[in-house]
Amino acid sequence: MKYILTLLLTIIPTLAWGQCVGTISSISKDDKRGTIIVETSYALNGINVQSNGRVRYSETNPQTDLTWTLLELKQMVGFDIKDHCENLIARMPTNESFIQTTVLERQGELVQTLIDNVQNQVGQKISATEKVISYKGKTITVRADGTTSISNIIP
Amino acid sequence: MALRLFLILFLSLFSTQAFAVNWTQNSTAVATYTFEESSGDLLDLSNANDGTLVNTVTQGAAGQRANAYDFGGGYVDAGDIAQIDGASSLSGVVWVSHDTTSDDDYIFAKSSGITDGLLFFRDNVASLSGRTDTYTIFLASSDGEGNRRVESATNASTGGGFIHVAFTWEGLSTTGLRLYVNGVEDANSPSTASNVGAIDSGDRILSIGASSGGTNNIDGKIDEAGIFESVLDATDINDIMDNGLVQAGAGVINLIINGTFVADQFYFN
Repeated sequence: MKYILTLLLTIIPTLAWGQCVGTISSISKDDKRGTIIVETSYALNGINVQSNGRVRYSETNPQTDLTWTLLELKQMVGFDIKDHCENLIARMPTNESFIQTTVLERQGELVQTLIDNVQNQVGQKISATEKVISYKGKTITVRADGTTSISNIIP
Repeated sequence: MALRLFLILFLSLFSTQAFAVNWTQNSTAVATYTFEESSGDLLDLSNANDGTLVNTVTQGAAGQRANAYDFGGGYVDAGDIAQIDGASSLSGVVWVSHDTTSDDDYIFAKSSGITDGLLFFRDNVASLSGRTDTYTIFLASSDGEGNRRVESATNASTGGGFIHVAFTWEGLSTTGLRLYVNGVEDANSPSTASNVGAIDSGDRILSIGASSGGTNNIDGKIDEAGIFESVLDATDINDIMDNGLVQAGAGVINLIINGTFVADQFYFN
């Protein structure tokens, strides 16, 4: 009996741990807007975290603009529930922090590679002697030595 | 024995529920406005991005949820919110009603003309599709990233009552730009945002009810507006639409139990 008890106590928390589960609680018609309402509840790591999840769907598939087939609607509802579960997981503070840190590190790696590859450019000199501006039929040239000139733009 | 087993199981289950419960503010809320004020500035309940009223804006009008602002040639200047420019993803939600449907009504704008930034507006005649009485979310970039937009279905933005509209943007995603009307993703959504990695609108203000330059003013009401630095999904948007944004300064909040996140709520009624 002790073994059974131990097993039960081990299994019960394990079953719900490490996952987000979305459950469809009702499917009905929104008389106010003429849409399909799918209500859901969500449990994260075995704890009920949301009981009023709700998504509305029009009678048509947004991608095809045709009336949903039953299969398409099922797939879309499943996609949205999975999407929300994934967002709940990503918003866990530890996960959110890990994502931000990892993204920043990766960005830093890519930037560092570029920086390393242009180090030999340090000391290089690039020069210009004049700036040319086109303005309403005129070409205006101003130079570093202080001289200027204006010419007509030939169409 | 069966009774003892049941009792042990029962107590063990309850022992795991002895949690410390904390609510913490969700950092993804950039600005949360409920438009309840009858005087003074528009207050941001999640951060300090309060807005000042410019020209004719009537506070205390009847809204979708309690009060709303009635715009008649004016707008709200929420200042240059740098968090929007630096974001790699963004969402916006709002209730809006239109007194007239003969021209464009800007809802949110943080844009320098049509070169950089975002515009979210009632589009009288959509420029790409030619559809009429639509909503458009438009992202523009002058540095080669290209312009991206979703133009909703015809007659989405008719007059006569409040309509809930929302957009989401995930930078560099091929399905990164989405538009929702009354909680339902529009038939013309999503669109690619693969070339748009940032809003990058410089020092232009976030304006509510007009362009950043104060033009294209909305003739109508705005209520319950929120901007988030994250991609809200359909469940999030429907929750906000059904239950309202955060009440009384609670902000968008996370439920933390024993130091572990278990839920986020967009309302706290």
